[in-house]
Amino acid sequence: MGHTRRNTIFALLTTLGLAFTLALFQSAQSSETEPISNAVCLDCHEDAAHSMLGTAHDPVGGKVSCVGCHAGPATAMHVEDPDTYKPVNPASVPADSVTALCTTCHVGAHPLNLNERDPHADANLSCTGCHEVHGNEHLSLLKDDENQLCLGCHQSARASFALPTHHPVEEGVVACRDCHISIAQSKKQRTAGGPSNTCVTCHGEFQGPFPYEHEAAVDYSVNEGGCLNCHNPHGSTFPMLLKQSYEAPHYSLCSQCHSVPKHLNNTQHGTQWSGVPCSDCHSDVHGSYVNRNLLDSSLQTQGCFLGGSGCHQM
Amino acid sequence: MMRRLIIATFLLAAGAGVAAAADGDSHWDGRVRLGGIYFDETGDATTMPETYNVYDGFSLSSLYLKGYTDPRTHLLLDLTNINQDARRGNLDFRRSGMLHLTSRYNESRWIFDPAGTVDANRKNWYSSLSVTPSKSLWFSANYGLQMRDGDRIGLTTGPEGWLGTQYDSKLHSYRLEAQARNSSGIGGTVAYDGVAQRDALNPDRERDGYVASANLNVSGLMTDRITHVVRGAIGRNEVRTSGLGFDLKSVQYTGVVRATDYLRLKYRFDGSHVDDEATTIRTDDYHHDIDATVNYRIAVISAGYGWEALDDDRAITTTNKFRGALSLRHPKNKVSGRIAFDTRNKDDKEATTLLRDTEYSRVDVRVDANPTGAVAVGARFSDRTRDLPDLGTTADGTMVTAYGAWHQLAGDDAIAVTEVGVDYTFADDEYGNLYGSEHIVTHVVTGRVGVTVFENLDLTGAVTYLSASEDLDLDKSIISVGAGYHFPRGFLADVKYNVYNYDDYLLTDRFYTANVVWFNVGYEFSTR
Repeated sequence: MGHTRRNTIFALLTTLGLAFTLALFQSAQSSETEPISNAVCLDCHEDAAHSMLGTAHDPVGGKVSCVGCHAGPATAMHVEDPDTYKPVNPASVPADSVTALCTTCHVGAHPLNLNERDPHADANLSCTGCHEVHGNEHLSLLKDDENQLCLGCHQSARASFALPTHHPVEEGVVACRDCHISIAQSKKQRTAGGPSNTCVTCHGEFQGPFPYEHEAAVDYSVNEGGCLNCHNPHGSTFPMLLKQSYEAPHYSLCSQCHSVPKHLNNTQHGTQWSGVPCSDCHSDVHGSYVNRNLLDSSLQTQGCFLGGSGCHQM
Repeated sequence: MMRRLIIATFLLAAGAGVAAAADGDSHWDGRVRLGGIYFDETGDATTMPETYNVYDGFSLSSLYLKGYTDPRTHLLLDLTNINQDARRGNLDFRRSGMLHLTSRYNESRWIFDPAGTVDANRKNWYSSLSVTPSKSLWFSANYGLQMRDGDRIGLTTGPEGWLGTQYDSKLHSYRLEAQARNSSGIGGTVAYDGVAQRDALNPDRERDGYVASANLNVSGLMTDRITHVVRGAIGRNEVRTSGLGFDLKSVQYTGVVRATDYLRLKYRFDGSHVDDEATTIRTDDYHHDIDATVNYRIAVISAGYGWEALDDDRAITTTNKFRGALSLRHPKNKVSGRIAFDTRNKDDKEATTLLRDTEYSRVDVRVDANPTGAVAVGARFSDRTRDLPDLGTTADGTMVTAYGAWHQLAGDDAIAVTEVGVDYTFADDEYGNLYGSEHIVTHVVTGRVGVTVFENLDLTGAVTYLSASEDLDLDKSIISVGAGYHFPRGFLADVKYNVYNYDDYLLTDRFYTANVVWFNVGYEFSTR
């Protein structure tokens, strides 16, 4: 990994250096103009100071200026004539304008998602759909307790979390953001640490690579793999969050893709093989260390394979 | 146990000390609730994940402390469910405009057998420190540790494969990030993420990985009508024992053009390359997406098209995507509605992949009404299909959700209903393939109500009911009632009683009933 890592670090440092130079240059330029100070605003809007104490937008102790958000041509005039001239209120401007405003400071991956193809942006929602800057005591300035805020709009997800197997969201063990913001990394999962990265953030044992991959489990596969091919992440009526049943006689979870008649109508092993679970032989369905057909290593000692006394290829 | 009690007592004393030391510049709110849990269950414990982490006995149910010593220095400590077998906590410290420290801990278990004796435990630590040396710069460092140990049982009685019957692993993850921005809308981030999986039972499962990423957000360059977002990342993940790994490269560009006050155009390119040494497969994936949105008065209309090519040296597939949506809203947002569709058709011209051609479609309709600030009602309809015509496989799902909620905005009635809410979801899922079909219909109802009596007594009730039929036949319900009373001088007491029930009428030994009572006494204070 050494050579690649050195190149990576060099590229990162170069980018960082350019960005910081640009930022500092711009800061020096902007300091030549004197913006309206927070103290001027707080003369009248004292309640705003109290409502934002302890947050990143604290107008007294922080580094954020009121006019950073309440900008616009009317702001300067508002100081002279508050009734006639109103500064911009980010809560009442179009969604994409809010996103553009917030991302002038918040340039991490999560806020930038709203500038891209994002379901919330598509539904004309912006940062202010979930976050409230003034008068908010929730962490990250969310409008409500995190999970309840999400479930307030996504009622069908609430129903999924009531199913017999589910991720323990309502129980407070898992938060919506654990999967949906993917620890503030790039929204595109594969850039942030590997295929199906969102899932392997907790279920690391499945990340691979495996010498023998199950294509259904890797999301770069041309067969459109990924954990969600077999699992419903919110909840399921089947065990282990399975998307379809894993029951005799036809194990529809597997047979949705593997229409292999010689298996389910197999007579080579006698009738006792009819309806046998796929995993009785293909035990390593998340990827195998020993066999390209994901067969269990114990079958080797049972002489199932060519070269032994068996019929199957390794 | 004694150690935990000592820690809890210490935290209580610290909270009380802080409160006592409060002077004119400091301000603290706090609450502590101590009590116990009575837990009685019969049946198959695996059927009710809601009770996996409920334990009989003493519990420090809540310790909450929030405030500041001066207007710039803030602290939040929030500990919940501290008992013999579980604990959860959050710590948040901020020096406004300078640094922010956050740390959280969570412990949970998963049950694998009906008696609840085969289980695995997961302990999660996460800490993050960020500093803001100037308005233009922001640095952060995060570290996460997930520990898992215990036993497991596979889904079937066959061989357990490499997953085995035990867990003993640690997943370390860390992230270093720097952000820089200027006042005119140019900013960027560079980040380095590392991950290390360690496994005491199977060294084959140990792996290391990293991703180095950068993004740049540019708006207001020459014109304030165009925003550019560029992202790039490279990374590697490899097995420790063999050095076998895969490399990742990715670049993304999004351009947003606010062409007029009403029209927004968006173009997105997404290219990635995965080089997997295990399979010797090199996969290139290219997406192009273009969308247009018109936002005029009460209507938002959007339409988009996407094209994707996926090439892994063995096969090439292309995908065409079409999407559109219409949203309408009342001028004062009292009523809003949206209808959207999305289709995706994958074409496997060479017919070399397992799944061959694939067709997806989805239609969503939603209506929401908020006639007063206190009332919200709405409904959703969703229909989605997936067809693999060459394999004869289909999946068709329909979901309908309706909800209603009422919140009391203000009032000083002797008996006041503070909240009422009901959600209902109906889902009808059909799956078919060459061997047979499967049909599952589910109904889920959740309801909750809150009542305040003479300002001191809070009563709550909630119900969750699930029914699954057709090829399944099971019922599940959770009924909850609770009461909390605020005594003079900040003392409080609360009790909650939950009944859990699960019945599977096809598998006769799959039933479960549990009765749980939580009871607490506590104290809350505020130096306001």
